[in-house]
Parts: sequence; structure tokens; C-alpha cells
Amino acid sequence: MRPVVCLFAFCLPAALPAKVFEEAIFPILQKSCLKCHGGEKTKGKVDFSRILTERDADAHPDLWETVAEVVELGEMPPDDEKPLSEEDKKTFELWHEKFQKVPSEATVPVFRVRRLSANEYRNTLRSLFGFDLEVGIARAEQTVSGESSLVLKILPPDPPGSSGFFNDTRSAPISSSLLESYTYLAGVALDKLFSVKGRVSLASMAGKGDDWDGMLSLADAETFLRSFLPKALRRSIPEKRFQSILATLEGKAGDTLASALKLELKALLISPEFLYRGFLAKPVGDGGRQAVDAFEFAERLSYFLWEDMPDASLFEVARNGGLEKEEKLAQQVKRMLSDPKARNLSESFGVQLLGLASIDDQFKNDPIRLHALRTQPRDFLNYLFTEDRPVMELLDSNVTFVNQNTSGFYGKDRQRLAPFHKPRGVERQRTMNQRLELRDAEGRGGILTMPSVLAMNHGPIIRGTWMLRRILGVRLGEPPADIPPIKPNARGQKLTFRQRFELHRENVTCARCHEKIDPLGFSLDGYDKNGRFLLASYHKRGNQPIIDTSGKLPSGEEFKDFAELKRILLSSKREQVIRHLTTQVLSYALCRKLGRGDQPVVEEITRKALLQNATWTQLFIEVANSIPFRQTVYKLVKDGTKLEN
Amino acid sequence: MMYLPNGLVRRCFIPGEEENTSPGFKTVKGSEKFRANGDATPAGIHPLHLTSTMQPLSRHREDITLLTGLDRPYKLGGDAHEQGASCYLSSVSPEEASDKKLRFLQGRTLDHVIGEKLGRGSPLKTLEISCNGFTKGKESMRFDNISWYDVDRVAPSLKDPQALYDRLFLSDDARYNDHLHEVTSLVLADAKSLSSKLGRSDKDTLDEFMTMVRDIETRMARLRKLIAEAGVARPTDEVLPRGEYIKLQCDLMIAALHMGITNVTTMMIGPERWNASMLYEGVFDKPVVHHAMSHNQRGDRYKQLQEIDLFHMEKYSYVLSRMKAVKEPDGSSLLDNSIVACGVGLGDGATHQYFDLPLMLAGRAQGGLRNNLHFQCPNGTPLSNAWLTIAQQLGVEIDHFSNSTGTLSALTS
Repeated sequence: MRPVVCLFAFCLPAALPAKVFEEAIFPILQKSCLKCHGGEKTKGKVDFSRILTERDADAHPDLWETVAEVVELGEMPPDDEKPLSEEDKKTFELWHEKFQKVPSEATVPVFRVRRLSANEYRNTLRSLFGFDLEVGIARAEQTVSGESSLVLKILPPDPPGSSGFFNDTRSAPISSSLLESYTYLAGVALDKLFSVKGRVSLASMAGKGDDWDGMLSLADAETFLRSFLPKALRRSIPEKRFQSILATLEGKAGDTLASALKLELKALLISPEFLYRGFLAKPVGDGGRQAVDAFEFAERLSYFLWEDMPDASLFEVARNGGLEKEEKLAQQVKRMLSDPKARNLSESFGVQLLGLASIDDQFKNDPIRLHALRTQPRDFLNYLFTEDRPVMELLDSNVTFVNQNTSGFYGKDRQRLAPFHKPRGVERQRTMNQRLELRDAEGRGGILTMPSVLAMNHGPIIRGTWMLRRILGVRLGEPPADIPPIKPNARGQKLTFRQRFELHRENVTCARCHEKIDPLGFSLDGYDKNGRFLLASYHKRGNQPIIDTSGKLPSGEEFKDFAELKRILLSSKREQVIRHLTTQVLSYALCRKLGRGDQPVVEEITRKALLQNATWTQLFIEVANSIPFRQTVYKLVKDGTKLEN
Repeated sequence: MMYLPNGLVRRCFIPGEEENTSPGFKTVKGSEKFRANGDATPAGIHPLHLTSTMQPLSRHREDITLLTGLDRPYKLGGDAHEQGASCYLSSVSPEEASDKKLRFLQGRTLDHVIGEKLGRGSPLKTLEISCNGFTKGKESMRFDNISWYDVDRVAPSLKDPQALYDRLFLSDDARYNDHLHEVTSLVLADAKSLSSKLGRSDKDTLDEFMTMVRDIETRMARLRKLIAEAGVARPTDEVLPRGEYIKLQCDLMIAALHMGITNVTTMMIGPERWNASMLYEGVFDKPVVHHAMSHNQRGDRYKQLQEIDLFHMEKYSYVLSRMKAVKEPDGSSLLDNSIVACGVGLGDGATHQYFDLPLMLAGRAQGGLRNNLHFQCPNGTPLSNAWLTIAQQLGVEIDHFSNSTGTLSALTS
């Protein structure tokens, strides 16, 4: 082994062997790491046994980041194991240095079709038909905050894909029960469209006025199809396709015509072209790397910003090639963000970005409080996303959203809220959030100190891990299963929770994560489990013990309270936060986990965003204009099958 | 096939291990050294001794065979719980897995191999059920599914009793209106023209989609005949206590077997790992986390963990009683004509061991299976020998399954 390593280390600056990873790094991993991080023991969810080649290694940039960090600090291999030899260390560092260098050019993965997520399917169906499918039984508001959408009630929830987002549906295969659900939903939607309830929608698509009696003529059916088909398939449809459907309707009238039309439509709604995105995308020439076609691009854009199909206006712009120029694209993005459908960006992307769904689980027994807690961060995110607010206002903003249930957290500021009215006889009610400018409230501003987020994550450890993962983009993995429990206080011992964790950190294995988690988490100790700010001057604390919220980050910055930590996040951690948010936006927009080939794009957008103090709108535009969003690679098979017709 | 998650308390379940203490948390590799200690019982056939955990089964001792000392192949990589569930019934041998460069020994599972043969005449080839009440995808699907069509092709288990009912009895007409055949043939024709200009992976996706479309149609035809006979009421959507929930899922499973809607079912009585608390009503007064408890069996804590094992064992007993009560036209019971296996993917929740697994087989398989025995397998007997024995008993003509080395002839009569 030795000669190989030396040879490699010497010639590194000049030329690297083609298989550096396989020849130099893999043996080191085998020798020094695999015992605990590979195979059945995957401490910290780090598993090297799956990384066999340079290509595999490419797919885990975050992992190598961590490895480099722990190797440099000497944290790994742990003290009770044989340390890495100097040569091995050097080899790894040299390799990582090269690896870390962001590739100079972005690469794009091969195009893959993707099934619509449950949310995307619901929204698409709604936009297509002009009405929502609702669960039959209406429920009292006070009792259940249940799901009213029939689609979401029937379709199984999507598991998060490898990107962590639900729209990454590639790993959840189609099953026959899923297909049955689609068939059922298509049937329900069509029945409604052709019933009295759906007449307004049908009339508008068949070119009829409001006073239409519902009798469909062959000409009406054609008008309807010419409007419906391109919308459903999200692109222009060749004339041939219309003709073949019209041929089956020929000579029919009245109810026979309607049922023949319904049949065709039902087939369309459970066809792969409708349920998946990308089956109809048109590669140019023999494939290879190229820009996606205009309709595919419009579709990408609208599912990104709206979680929904393109509307008529976007469709028109796409047809005329209007999205190719950056300024035109920027205009479209701005228009789309001002549309009410952009609410889905906070409801879906925002909620998944910050893991807000756990609010729903925790407070489901108190619908009024749940309503207050779940809408507060969503309204705030919606404000940031759609009103062109700077990206960093996520952490620091002087605007918040408050309703009757949460107003108590905002001190004197709540006096400026419009009064809440309560009808007679109602004890508690849900109230809409009002936008509130923060002036006097202490310890508020930004998502981190929002009462609902603090109530969702109570306890310093959960708050710390949440902040690391959701704001700074650091994933720690699962704690090892064999950790000793945090010791309870012995008789007569009066250690605080914080002091007990300081003891816990004396164990090297524990310190590895807890030195990152604890300072962040304990800085929020001034907020109780409901999110109340105990340290505010208007709370009399009497003889309560002093709360220590100071800390020191592993990178060296010290702070005495959360306000100072926030300043650190906004200054020296700013780049890390923006890079994380960029990564997440790009990953959500592309509906996939990012790879090494996407890194140049992430870096470029992060750099621009830092320079310009970018707003969310600018970030969305940059992502929509990025290479992986605009381009793809088509690999076509030529297996000799002839084209049908 | 009933699957119990997170292992069992060995000393309470396995005859002869009563005096053992739990070794505490061990990794799979770390657990290896217990293998060397040898078995508590010498290899061979013994009279069935009902240990404390098996007490709920006392009514059925005539119908049960206990197998101990079965080894499951294991491949380094991923989590022990993950493999425990997703590779438990796998037909893939270690050699195949390394040839195909698979991450796990994961592939087509026993139920589908058997379903291929036994499912020809029934509307559903196989039925997959899970009693995991959580709807959010907390863990990957490998923790929650023991039934797989193929590598990474899950046969999704049905968790919601209503969804299960609808799948079995097609209670909703709108879903299956008369035009289904026309609609599917239109979709199929359309997809044919689509497939010619696609990339490889997209083509696979499309093929998969088409298989499902065809599947619906065949199912429909077979099911129409049975719908009229269904006398089971559609469950309400209230949230049931865990025991009731498991029982309801079992009832639906038995109804499906009884009516011939399917002949092969798998049932996960709970998800592997899934660090979330569940309320075992009548056992503990507040929700507990099974996985966490399985890792901490020190002192007397194992006794609490045994309560969960007993809770599950009662459900197994319930299934056996129900199946025994169902009479077939010739006077025999459903149980007489079936094999109801109940097993674990981990030999012990604390050690993650994949060897010395216990497995219970109940039912006579129409007289093919001997009962009321305890069979201690010789060291190193692969679990797949048991699967091969079951498959052959059910009339599947195969001579090996995964890494099997033969059948367990001591069990068959």
C-alpha cells in the first residue's frame, strides 16, 4: 500500500490518476473507517460501504465535507482506535482539496419522467376543471381540522424523495392501488363536470354562455376538446390527435355524445402523459445535452412556483418562445409570484424547508391553537416569498403575522392590531392573521423566535438540531443507539439541564454533535415551551434563577444571548445560510437531490445573492434561469421499434 | 405470514434461554460472538414447551410448531432493522446479491413467489397489510414493508382499514364504472404510440405503468363475481386503539382468505424501528416506543418489553382462533388448510442478531405439516430452508430459495 500512496502523493500536483478514489482513498476507508461506518454499524448514519467508486463519491459532497472536518480536527478515528497515518491523512487532504473544488462547469443529469405528487395532482385537477373535489361530509370547524380535499384524502401521502421534498416522486413507484385511486378521482371529476354542478366550467370550455342548458352538440364537443386537451397535456397538441378523438364522437348526439366524450376524457386523465411530467417532452435531434422545449420549461416553472399547471398566459408566452430571454423570464416569475397560486410556494416548499408539518401533529387536539400556530409561519413565509423581501429576512424581519391567539406574545405592539370581533355565543374562534410591524416587542423578529416555531421545537436540543439542519444546512444524522442516558441529578446535586449537558459533552463521541447543537439550542432558553419570551423586561421574574443563554460556536464566535447569536447568523454565517437556502430552492425546483454537477450553479447563485443582498424573488429568478433548470440530457434508445402511426 | 417488529425478548420466548440475560446493545457484528456460545437446546425435535411469552397460544398448542435456530443471510450495509423487514422473505441469495451489486439481499419475496402459483384463480395474487397507524413517512419504506415485487419495487402495504376494505370489496361503484375496459384499452393504445421515442429509464416507468393498468382490468373481472357475496361492513374512519386496529386488519385479512379474494397475505404487526410512541392499550397507560425499549432490556426492564411481545402474541392467537372457526364445505377449518407463519427479522432487538431466529408455523397445510413440536435446527440452518419448505408444501415447484440448503423434512409428514 505504502508505495502506491507515496507515488500518488508525489505526482498529485502534476496529474492525477484516473481512479484516485478507487486506488488511494477507498483503501484508507476500508482500513480505518469501515469498522464503524459501513455495514451493519453505520454510526451517525455514515455508511462508506456503498461508496465504491469516484462516481459514488461524487454523489456525497456533504459527507466529504464532514469527513475532512473530523479528520482535520482529529475527531476521527476516535481516540480508542488507531489514528490515521500521516501519509493517509495527507492523501485524503489532497484528494479532498481537489474534490472540494467546485467543478468549473455545471453538468446536467439525464432526463427522467416524474409522476405528479399528490399536491400537484390536486392543484392540476382543480385548475383544469375549475372546481375542487371535496370530501362529501362537511365537518364542524371546531371539531376537526380535517382534510377537505377528496384528492388528498384518497391518494396516499407521498414519501419524501431523496431530496427530502415530496415532489421528488421518482422513488415512489406506481402501484395498482394508486392507479385505482386515479381512476376513481378521474371518474368523480368527470361526473361532476357533466352534472349541473359543473355546468359553469363545462360551458366556459365549450364556448357557451351562462344561460346554457347543458345540451352538448358535436361542435361544442370540439370546442371543448380544443380547449381542454392542450391544457391537460400542458402543451400544443398535433391536429392528428384531435381528429382521432373527434372521429369516435362522429354522428353521436345528446347523452351518447356526452358519455363517449367522458370515456375519452377519462382515458386521458389516467394516461401516463397526464399523470407524469415529461413523457411528451420533445428532444431535438438524437438527444444529448440541450435546452428543454418551451412547454416543458413552462411546466417546470409553474410546478416550481405554483405547484400547479401553467395558466393560459404562461402557456401563451411559452408558445411564442417568450421565456428564452432572462428579462422576459424575470417578468413571468414576478407575475406568477403575485398570483394567489404562489401561496403554494410557502404551503409546500416553505413548510418542507422548515419542517413545519410537525406543528400539525403536535397540536391536533386543540384546533383553535393549531390554526394559529400553523398559519403564523406560513403567512410569514408567504410574505417573504411573494412580496420581494430579502432572503435574510427569514431570520430577521420587523414584520410578523399575528392573530388573536398569538397576539399576547407581542407586548405593546398588539395594541396596534385591528380589534378582533367575536360573534355572540361563540367561545373561541379562529381568527385571521394580521400583519404586524414590530416596534416594542422584545425578542421577536424572524422565524427563529416566532412563537409557533418555538412551540413546535421545545427544549434546547430539538431547537438546536432544528436550527442546524433547517437554517444552517448541517445534518447530524441519528444519535448512536448505545449512548449513555443523560444522568439525572443525584441526591442533593442541583445541576441545571444545561450543566448536565456540559457533562455529557465531556464524552468525545457526544461532544462531536453536541458542541454544535447545544450553543444554538441553549441560546433560546429564554423562551419557554409555548414560545413566551421570559427575559422580556415586562415579565417580572422575581426570584427565578438566572437563565444563561450565552454560548460559543465551534467556529469560535462567542455570544452572550440570542440577539448576539442572531447577529452572528446574519454576518459571519450569512454565506452558509444563503448557500443552504439556495440549495434547497434549487433542489425543490428540480424535484431531485442535487449532485456535484449542480455545485457550480449553487455557488454562482450564492455569490450573486450575497453581493446583491438578494430578495427571494431574485433567488427564484436565478434558479429558474439556471443551467439545470433550463437544460437536460436526453438519451434515446434505438431498439428498432417502429413508430406507431 | 405475520411479522413482529424489533425482535423478541429471547429469554421469555425461546425454550431453554430462560436464564440468559440480555447482553445489552450490540451491533450485528458484535452480536456474532453469541453465536459461538451454542444453543440452549440440542438440535432435533423436542416436545413443545410453551414459554411465558407463548402462553397466549396455549389454546392452540396442537396447531403450532416452533422452529428455533434459523439464520438469515445478512449483507453489510444499511440498518439492521431496515434489512430485517425488507429482506426477511427475500428470494435473493448472497451470491446473487453480489453478482447484481445489490445493496441488500433484497428482491422478490416469498409471498409473490407463492402468489404466482396460488394466485392464478383469485382476484388478488397477494395481499399486503401493515398495522402502522402513522401516515407520515417517518422511516423509509424498507422499515414498513416485508413484501417486495423486486429490488426497490415495493408491494405497498395497506395501513388504513378503509382502504383495505375498499381494495378487497370494491365498495365504491364510481371507482369501477362499466367503461373500465374501454378506458384501459384506450390508455394502452395511447401508451404504445408513446413508448417508441423514450429513453431507457422512462420506458421502464411507462412499462411499469402499463402493467398496473392491465392488472386493474384482470382484477376487475375476477372480483365482480365475489362482490355480491361480501358480507363484511366497511370500517368507519374513527381512530381505533392499537389492539382493536390490529384485530380489525386481521379480520379483513381472514375475510379475504375465506372468500378466496386472495390466498397469500403478509401482515406486519408493526413497523420496524419507527421511533414513535404507540399506545398498547391495556398494557401501559401511556404510549411507549417499542424500538427504544427493545434496546434497553437491562435489569427488570425486559419484563415490560415482554408485555408488548405478549400483546402481539395474543393477536396471533386471535388470528388462529378465527381461522379455526372458519369452516370449509368439507368440514375442515381454514386453519387446517393453511400455513400461518409468525416470525421476527431480528433474533433480539438489543443485539440486532440475524441468526438464531425463532419462527412459528401454525396450520396443517391440508395435512402436510406436523404440529405440536419444537424443532431446534442445527447450527447454521438458513431461514430460507423454512421458506422453501413452506413453498413446496403449498405446491410451488421450486428446489431452492435464496441460500437454502434443503427442506426441513422433520416438519413435513
